[in-house]
Amino acid sequence: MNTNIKLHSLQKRRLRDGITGFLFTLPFVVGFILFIFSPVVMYLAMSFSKLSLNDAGAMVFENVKWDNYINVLFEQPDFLKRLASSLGDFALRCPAILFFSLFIAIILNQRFHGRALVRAVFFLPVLVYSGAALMFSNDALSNDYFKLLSSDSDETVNLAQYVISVLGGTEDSPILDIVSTLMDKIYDITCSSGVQILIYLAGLQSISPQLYEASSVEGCTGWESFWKITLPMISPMILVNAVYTVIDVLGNPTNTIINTLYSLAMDSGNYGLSAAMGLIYFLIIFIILGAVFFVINRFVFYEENI
Amino acid sequence: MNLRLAEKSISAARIKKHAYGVCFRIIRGILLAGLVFLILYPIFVKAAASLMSNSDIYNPSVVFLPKNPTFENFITVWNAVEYPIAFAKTFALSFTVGILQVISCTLVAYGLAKFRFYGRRIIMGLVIFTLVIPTQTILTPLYIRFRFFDITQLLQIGGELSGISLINTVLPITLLSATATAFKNGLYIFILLQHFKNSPKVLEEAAFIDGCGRFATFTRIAVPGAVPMLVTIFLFAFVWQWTDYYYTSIFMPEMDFLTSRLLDIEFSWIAGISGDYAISVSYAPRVLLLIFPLVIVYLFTQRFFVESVERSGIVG
Repeated sequence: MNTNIKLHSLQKRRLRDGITGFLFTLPFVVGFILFIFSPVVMYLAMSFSKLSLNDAGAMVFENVKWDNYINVLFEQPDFLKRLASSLGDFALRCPAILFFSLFIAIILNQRFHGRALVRAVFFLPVLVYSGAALMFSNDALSNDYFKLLSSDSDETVNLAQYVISVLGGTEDSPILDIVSTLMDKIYDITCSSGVQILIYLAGLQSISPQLYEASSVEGCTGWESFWKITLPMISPMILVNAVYTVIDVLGNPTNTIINTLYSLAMDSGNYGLSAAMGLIYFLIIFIILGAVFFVINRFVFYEENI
Repeated sequence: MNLRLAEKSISAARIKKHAYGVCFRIIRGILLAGLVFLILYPIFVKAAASLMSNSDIYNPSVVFLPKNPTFENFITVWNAVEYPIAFAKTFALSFTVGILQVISCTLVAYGLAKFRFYGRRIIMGLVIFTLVIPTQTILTPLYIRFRFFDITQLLQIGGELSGISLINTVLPITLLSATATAFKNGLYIFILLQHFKNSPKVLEEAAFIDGCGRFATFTRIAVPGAVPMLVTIFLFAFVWQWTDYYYTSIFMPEMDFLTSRLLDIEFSWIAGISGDYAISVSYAPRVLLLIFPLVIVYLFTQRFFVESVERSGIVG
């Protein structure tokens, strides 16, 4: 009898907890149903239709079943090629960004003179690579960014070229090529790591200083406390950054596939085909995300599990 | 004898450690200087370009630094966009939207992290889903939603819609922010979710036993402990609203925010402009006027970071 009552109250408490939890998430649930769900359903419907305008100027959906998907997979010769190149590029850039941003965040979290200013500089890529600022600085995305401005735009001077010519080298030495590609690559990674660095920094700031105090009392070296404290405590943010990097690298507007999607819809007016291609692509992103999540989540340290 | 040997080896170890420390600092300094140069160089180029006068633009001997520096370009842009008004409007919107997004995302993330209930995993999946689908793909249907806004028809898919237009009001962006479905809110929820999952349970249980309700525990224990995260998220929300062009141009095309004003001014405002080079000279002051206030905002938010480190001694 007594245990029955106890069980009953435990169940009640669980139920109440569940309802409270659901109430906390309510803003998102409402927002999703009102603003995301039906646009996504419409997008899905578009992928199975051929869209045209009728005389009144309204959109008419004509059901074409799987035609758009078949078209994307078998009749668009560039799609699979572009997909492969975009995934190949992703496989190289994603780990590079993740390691680089963690490394920089750890350095920026140390104490040194001018730290606030250096941090502000590393924040700049987030600004330059967002929204309208991106429209003004599209040239920032091209490979030959290290041009010195010259009034004669046909004959631009590369910074690396300039430095080497000052040092007495010739303009087409192999070192020049290596130096300028290296600079471009580092620049590219640095600029794609802005958001990740900030997330890691916030994670590092959230680690309680008491943990480090305790470890130094116990005689841990810096190297040991990195492996035993910093890395486990930052690991939840590694997962966040991995997921974000996948989405950012594969889904940002400069990606070739995303570009194709928009040009298909906006320039050619082929909304159905664009939607089908988009959905195939997003499904691939989801599968990659699932894999990344599964692998990394196993190494993430959660306090609640101990 | 033995003691002396031990002392010697300790001092040797100290010198070694010190030497390592110095080496490390030098390498760190060089590395950071290089990267800072790499990031700042394009911005210096832009700053130099925006200070050029018309005579410098067509002077072939001017390569990098302007010979007759002038603020004329900045003044032209400043007046053309009515900078103070556009600035105030954009600041007010970004600030409100930032605060709203921080509140809604924190609530959602806390609910997902600290409670067990049916559908929790589905909601988490949907959060990631909103992040994967690029905004641009659903912007048109979303526009139709807000063009013919009617609370009774919100669940309707397709068909004729009739309702009031919310276009050119701040309501669409406010509604999206308050419901954690605005730009990249999935990321904010995910960051906070991971943070709350890893925040010590002991403190919350203690507060609970002391008679704190669920919500009081949330506001008094969870939120103060998450300050670095919340500041970072506010910063993202603020910056991405500030530089946003897609949402603003579609939901508020006539409201004259900074981005649309800066993008819309006459392409060739420098007399007789021509060529790539002159175009980049016309871009430079605009992008600088757009991003400079954000650097100030960033430096300002740094203060919260330092404070929160001190506070986390109590909380963490």
